[in-house]
Amino acid sequence: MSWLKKFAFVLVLTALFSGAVSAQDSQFLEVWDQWEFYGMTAAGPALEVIHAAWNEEHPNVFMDRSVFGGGWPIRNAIELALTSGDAPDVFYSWPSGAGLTAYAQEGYLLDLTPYADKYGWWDRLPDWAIERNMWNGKLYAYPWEQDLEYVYYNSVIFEELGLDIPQSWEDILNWCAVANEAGYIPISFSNSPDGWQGANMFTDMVALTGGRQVGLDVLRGTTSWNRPEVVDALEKLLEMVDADCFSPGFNGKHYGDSLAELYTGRATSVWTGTWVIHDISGNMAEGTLDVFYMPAIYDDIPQATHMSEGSAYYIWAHASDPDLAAEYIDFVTDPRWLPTWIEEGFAIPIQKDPIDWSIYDVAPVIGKAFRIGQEMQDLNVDAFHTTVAPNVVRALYQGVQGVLGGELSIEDFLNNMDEEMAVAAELGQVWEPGERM
Amino acid sequence: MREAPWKDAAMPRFNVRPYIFIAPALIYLGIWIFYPIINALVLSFFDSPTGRSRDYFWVGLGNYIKLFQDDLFIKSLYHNILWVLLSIALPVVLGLLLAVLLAGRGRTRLFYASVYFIPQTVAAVCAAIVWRWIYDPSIGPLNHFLEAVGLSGRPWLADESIVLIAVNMIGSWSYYGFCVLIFMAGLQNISPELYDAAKIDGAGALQQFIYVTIPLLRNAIIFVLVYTIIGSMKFFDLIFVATNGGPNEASTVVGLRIYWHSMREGRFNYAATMSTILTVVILVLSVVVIRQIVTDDEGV
Repeated sequence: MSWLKKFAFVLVLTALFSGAVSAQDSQFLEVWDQWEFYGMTAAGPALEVIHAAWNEEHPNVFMDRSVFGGGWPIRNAIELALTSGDAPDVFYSWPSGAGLTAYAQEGYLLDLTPYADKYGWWDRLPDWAIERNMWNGKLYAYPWEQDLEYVYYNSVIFEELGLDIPQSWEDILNWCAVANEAGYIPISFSNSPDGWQGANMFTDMVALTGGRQVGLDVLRGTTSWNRPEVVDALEKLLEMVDADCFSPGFNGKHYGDSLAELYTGRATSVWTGTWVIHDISGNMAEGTLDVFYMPAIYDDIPQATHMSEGSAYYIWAHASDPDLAAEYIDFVTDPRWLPTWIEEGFAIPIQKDPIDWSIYDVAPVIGKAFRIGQEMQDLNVDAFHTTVAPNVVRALYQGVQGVLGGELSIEDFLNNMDEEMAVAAELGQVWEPGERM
Repeated sequence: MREAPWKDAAMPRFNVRPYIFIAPALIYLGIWIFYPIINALVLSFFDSPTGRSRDYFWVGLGNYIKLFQDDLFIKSLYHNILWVLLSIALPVVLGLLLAVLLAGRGRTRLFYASVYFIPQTVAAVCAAIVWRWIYDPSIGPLNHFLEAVGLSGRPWLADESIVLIAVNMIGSWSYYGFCVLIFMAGLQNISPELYDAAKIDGAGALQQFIYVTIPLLRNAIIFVLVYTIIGSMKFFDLIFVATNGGPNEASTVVGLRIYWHSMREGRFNYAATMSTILTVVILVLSVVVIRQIVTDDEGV
């Protein structure tokens, strides 16, 4: 063998081995999330900081990240990906309860229980959040940002009208009367094209008329939806409709349009949740925004609202490197990033221990909104529309529209909910709160 | 020396060339039209608790039986039929009248036709968003206008009794310009002498329209009607953005149900059953319209 051939042989071997070593060292991670820079999940700036740190600590990991719109776009994309057998390693989406049950049943999700043990996730999450993300005694998702619903109001208009924060049902009706008299929309409300806003208000009202246990019972299908507390909740909402508490034509109004009614001073308030705190606090003039939770209606049922995780991190059952995927989830949810999520992302992570708001540089109204809601976490009802099966979601959205629009009787709506729950049960998609075994 | 029999001029010779020319179109149609239709038909005879093909099991006509017991599907189909009728009643009829009115306007007719066509160039999603604002009960210009002239405004997209008509108006606004253009093209092919002859026979404007224009526009009318029926039966985007079928399913159509069952519930087989029925309904309606007009023509 001539020296030239020997040299070429060594060169080829070197190239092959270096390639093999490099391939062995480099890792690939595909992530789909919904962290945009505006709108409902506007924690994009926070995630950029966290990802920069991740990349620095994991130089051999090539991350392919795709960002989808929050709400249905990410969920549709994920469901198509899962059923087609080609899903990302990690994804951040929002079906819990029945949705998670369906995914886990079909074997789409990786059991995260060993990673929860390894990384101590059990100590970071409250029980209610764990229960929503377990199936058959195993944890299948890491629930992340906290969703709570309350009323954002224009404190300047309230002062001008001589209104105080309502403390009773009569106060709510009085607020509507005073605001209408002065030419304001009392509560800006949109319930189209999806009816999720009405579904959320319905859940809030069940929390006030029936409490957490009633919410759990109807969600688990252990009782009919057509029960007095649920009927009462809908009647209360209808009473508010009759008192002109809501935007005219709310069933044809879109979410952004109702928020605009608050921003432009046409409405005294909007009844929505934490997911738009970034947009609302950014669009209201300084010193005009404050929040309160709807008051208790009955003496024996404490003040409460609805809550859930905004979305949760999942690992696909066939992830190329499950350990790396779990390490990624642990990294982005690590407590050291709490200030980044809260101050730069306006997303408040679900935490077992109460958050000390005094150490964070955020508007006081943000701290107030989360502090009150988290204090009530043992009383709050799980959000109906993120917990029931998809077929029930449609009946819920359209049914609340029909009831509030006066075209569908409460009885027909609730019977329809029972029928859809029966279909969901046939499909094995009724939520059963999980317990750690 | 005898000629080989296959070289006999009387024997038809297989000519491969035409098949080569139509092959690209056939392949395209096969992949994007025929295969999905056949696949949807096959899927409709199966069901799956998971949405995955490996879990399919045979249910025969089970999905079809379930479908015709599904009140929401019947309601959606009814809305589609209404949508067809509304789309014929307004944009098609209006388009025909405008085209006839423009026919005698010389060069300015092209200008008007272009103006009428502009809404057609606006994406349905954008049109839905803009019209949502126009319809808004509190800030929308439509209610402001109605109130200014002494009429009361309505919650156009929130009132179940009128929402389908309100959304159809958006579609009609987009579509009528297209109808004007097609009818104008058809009118250009009608010889002016026919109108002169009709005038000599004492026909007025209305009689000329009925006895000259309509029969000679037959092909354009067939095209527009069939195109409208197909488009209306599979309508989706505008309604999806404007109301998503609400409130309380008052504007839901079959296309939305198919989307919901497949994309949101993962019930692909049930959605495929709806698609199959929708395809059949479109075919039947189209054939009925074409046959009716062709038969009338032969009768004449």
